[in-house]
Amino acid sequence: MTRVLRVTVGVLRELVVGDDPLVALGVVALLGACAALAHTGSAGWWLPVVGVPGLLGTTLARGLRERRWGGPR
Amino acid sequence: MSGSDGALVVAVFLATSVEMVEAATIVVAVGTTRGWRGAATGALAALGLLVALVAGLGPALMRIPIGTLRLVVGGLLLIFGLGWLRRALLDASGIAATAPAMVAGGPPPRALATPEPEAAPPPLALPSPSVPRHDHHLDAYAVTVSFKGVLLEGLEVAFIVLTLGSSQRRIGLAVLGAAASMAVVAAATFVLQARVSRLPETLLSVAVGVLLVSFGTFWGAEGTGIEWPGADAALPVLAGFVALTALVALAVLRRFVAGPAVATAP
Repeated sequence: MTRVLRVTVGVLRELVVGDDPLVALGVVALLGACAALAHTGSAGWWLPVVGVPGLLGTTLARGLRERRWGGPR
Repeated sequence: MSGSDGALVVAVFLATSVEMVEAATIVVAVGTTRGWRGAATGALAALGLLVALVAGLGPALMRIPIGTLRLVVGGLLLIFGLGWLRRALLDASGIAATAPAMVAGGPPPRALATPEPEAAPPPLALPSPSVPRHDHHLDAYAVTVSFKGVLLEGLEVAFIVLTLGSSQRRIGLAVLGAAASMAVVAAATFVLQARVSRLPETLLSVAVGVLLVSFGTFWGAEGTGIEWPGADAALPVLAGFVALTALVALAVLRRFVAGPAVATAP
């Protein structure tokens, strides 16, 4: 039972948070900003188009640092 | 069959084909890279739940808040996809995982200053996207991603069938159009998956990451109320843009990795 719980929590953590918690936070912030923009009635499709590459670049830079120097700096 | 009946079948066929192609893309992408057993299990579980929902709720199915579902599934898929793409691009760039510092004169590497024993991997930690395409055990990630994609798209198909079918009071004909669409997409998927599985693993991992990020971005933004220009037609354009971004990122990573490594080579 404990093992099943541990595995379940591990899978959920991997799916919801992943390698880089900043990605999860960034996605939540990005979708929140999208919702706010959509609420005003403005065309907001450009926001994820700009935000997702930004998030990818940020997490890649962090990943590169982790792999080269053994941890986030 | 009257002209309006034929138009109904064609309309349902075309509308559901778009959704089914999206679901099939995710299942093929996950199945090819993570194993078919998990992808098929997730897809079948989602189909089973869909059948139960349609049979149990009937027209009341329309009350399910599809926008919220898109937001949750899209958001999770975007987080998962960005993590996948990050690993795929870092692997493809050639830098080894947790490699010792290669930069001479750079800041003192933490790993070298205080060597620590390698931490044990967490249970069921997501391996590199370029995992062997094994089928001998059930992959929780393949099951989950496949399940979410098929459930969301399947619900959209059910909505299309119910909306168009009930508007002309010909649900049976609408179901016929959806079934024909499913048969065509399933056959095309079967033919394509064999070709896709022959692609190089690195390329495949990056491509799957691009697809997951594209679908996640598309659904997540739609769930917040944002309208994409061209509706579903925006998805392939978005995927192309994400692919271009990934290629540029890979080129930058490779240049960055190659530069200092060459400088410090013995």
